Amino acid sequence: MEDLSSVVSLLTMSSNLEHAAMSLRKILEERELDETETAALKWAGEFLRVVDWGTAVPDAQDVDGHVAVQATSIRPTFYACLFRIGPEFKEAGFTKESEVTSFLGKLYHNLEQPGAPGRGRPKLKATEADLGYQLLHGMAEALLVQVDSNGSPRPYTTDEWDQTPNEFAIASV
Amino acid sequence: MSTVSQVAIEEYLKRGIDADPLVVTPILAPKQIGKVSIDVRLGNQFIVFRTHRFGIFEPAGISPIEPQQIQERQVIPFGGHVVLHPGMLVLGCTFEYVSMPSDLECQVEGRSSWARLGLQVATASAVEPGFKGVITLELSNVATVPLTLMPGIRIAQLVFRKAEPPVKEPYGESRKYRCPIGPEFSRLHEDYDWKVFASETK
Amino acid sequence: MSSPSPVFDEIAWRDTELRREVRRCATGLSKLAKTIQLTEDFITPTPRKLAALISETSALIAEAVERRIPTAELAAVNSFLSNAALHLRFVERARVAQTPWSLVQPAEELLKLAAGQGTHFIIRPTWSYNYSIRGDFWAQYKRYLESRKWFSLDLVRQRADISDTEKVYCVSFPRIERANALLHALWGHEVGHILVARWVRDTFDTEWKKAELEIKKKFEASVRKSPPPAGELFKERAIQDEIAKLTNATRVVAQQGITELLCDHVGGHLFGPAALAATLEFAARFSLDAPPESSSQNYPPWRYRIRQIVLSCDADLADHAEIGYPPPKLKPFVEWLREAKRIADSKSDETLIRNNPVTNQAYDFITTHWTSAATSVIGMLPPELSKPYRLSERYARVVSLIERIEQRLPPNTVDGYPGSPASLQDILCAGWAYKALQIHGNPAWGT
Repeated sequence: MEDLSSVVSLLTMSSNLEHAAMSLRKILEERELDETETAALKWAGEFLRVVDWGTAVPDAQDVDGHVAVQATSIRPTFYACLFRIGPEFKEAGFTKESEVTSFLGKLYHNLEQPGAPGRGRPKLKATEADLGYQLLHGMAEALLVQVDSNGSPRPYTTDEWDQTPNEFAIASV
Repeated sequence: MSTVSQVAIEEYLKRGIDADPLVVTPILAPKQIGKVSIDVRLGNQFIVFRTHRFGIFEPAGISPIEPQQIQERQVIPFGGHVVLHPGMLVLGCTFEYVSMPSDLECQVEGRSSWARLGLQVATASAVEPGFKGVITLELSNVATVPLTLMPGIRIAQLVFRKAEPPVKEPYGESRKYRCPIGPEFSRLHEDYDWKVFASETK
Repeated sequence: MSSPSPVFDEIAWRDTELRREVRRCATGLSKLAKTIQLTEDFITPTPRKLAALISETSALIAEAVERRIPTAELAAVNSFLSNAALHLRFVERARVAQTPWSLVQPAEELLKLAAGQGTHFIIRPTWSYNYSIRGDFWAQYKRYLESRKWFSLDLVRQRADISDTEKVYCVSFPRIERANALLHALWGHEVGHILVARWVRDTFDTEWKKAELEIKKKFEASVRKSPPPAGELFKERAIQDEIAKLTNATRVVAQQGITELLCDHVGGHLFGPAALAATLEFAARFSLDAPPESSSQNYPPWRYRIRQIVLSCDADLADHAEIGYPPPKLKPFVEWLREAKRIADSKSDETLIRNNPVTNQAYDFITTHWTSAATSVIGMLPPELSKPYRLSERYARVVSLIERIEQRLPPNTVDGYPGSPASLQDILCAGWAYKALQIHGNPAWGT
């Protein structure tokens, strides 16, 4: 069932990713994070690690079924957002895919454990934090577009929006 | 022509479906069947008049108006109520669907308890043999204080009389009010003699 | 002399503008919902309940916008309000005159019995030719808002007078079919969605997780054979992206497919041949073999669905000479239903499904999980509804109702006077059988 809950999931994920994106900026500016922001960063790090097939998940069997399905549904959006900031990666000096993989691993690690770097957790450079911000913010926006089409008219076949998959629709005959 | 008593009413009700029975359905409580009558309840459909839209209703045709233009259907959920103000006429209907056998006719009569509060339920009260449907009630309040009516209350009674001998062509398919399931708009304009009056008026 | 313009801060601009707009929308929505709640006539209290919920929720959001909602959440809150505003149309359309009001109350009772107490239904028409269900609005509002630190759900509970055990759904039907009570047997399918949603939540996700790796592997082999073009930075991830798209498409088709088929199964269980008849009449308008892809909103082909419902009412399509079934008054109906079997015999839909790797894998998943899923979903029904409706076991009652319709009497009681109330399922079956009898004598009947 294309559940009403899918819209709520998108809204929640978008909010969390946007929180995480803005928190990355705060870290860069060395400002304090509140509890919500810390939680959003942690959630984003753990979730993106499941979504990104290019970084190893510690133990795929531990992933909850619901999170696995969420990851399946969001994965194409993740890759699209990543490809979209390809020019910024090049500008920042990335030349090989292994460098991107290594950067993303570092990003997820930092998100999962926000706070002072240490114990083998390298600090993100300003350019890296900015790339992280762009990836998270881009995903947050892309998810919202899926909910409300960014203000442009929705595709429809009648005077009502029943045919759109993205409103809180759950099902039809 | 004698009034039909409780025993005979029940005999009519118990007749098989092919034996020209009296049907009053649903009867929610056996007590509705009295000594010489069946109490009927108020249905939840009403027709009210949109008096703010027209000054006059002239079925004769000087300035013809379809009845639907001045009357509006309303449905009040069971548990809700309708307020009948003094001087107001509202068309309601019985909750029960009635099917008359060919040898009975009935009169719709108000219940005295309601009448004492000023409620009139039916002015055109005869129901012919063979009629099927809910019965339209012309509800009006002739008192000076408003009355609250709730769908489902016992509001009128049907008093049956034998039609002897049974009518040859019971109220059938060709009549104006055929198997209604709610109050019916007036169809005065369909009367066979109306055309005559209409042409005279012009 | 003009002073130099300050550096433009887009985040600050959005914060000011969006904050003002969100407050205006929230206030406006609250007032609109309140007006609809107070002024319209509804046949049940449920539409007012949803209007009150929307009104109070948006009023509380309006109160929070000024100081408490963080900038990072404004855009999502705006989307939430836009969606909640769309839900008001369900309330508005549920006005008495728009609905088959005499059917709404008994239908809601049956739906409540199937879906559980505390469940409320709005029944309303839609201009699109479709039946659908949406909800539970309250659960989803809660799910989004409970993690928002700036919002108090307790205040919504108080002001909208709604408890956590209550659920609010909206069932839609095609406006043009308002008075076509027989087609509304499809509401059985819609209530199935509530049960199937539980199965999806409790079981589908876990089963999908188990199956996903194998599905991914199958796609990987073909994608690697002809990888998509990509630059040096994202070569491997371009392949992963392609596989991810195919895997997600398979998930969508599998989830949508098994959901619809399970709902059909619930509809067949609750209404028996009336559900099959309604599905047949509805499906006649569409292609029977449209494959499950995005252009058909991933719905299973109608032929596939008809085949599944035939399976659930097979006993009623057979002759049972020992008990005189079908009797003459039901014969045209049963004969008409047997055409469904002939439709189901063709496998043209299966061929199309199997020719596409995505639908092929999705329907493998469905086939693997069908039996356990169907058993599990039917097991969610209350004991009163656990037994499937069988016309062949109830035909005497149904025939007596047909006789009442023939005599122009409402098919509301059985066993003569005083009799006992007829069930909604028997009434719908009798209606369909009467229709089949009439069409048997005159194919143009009812048109």
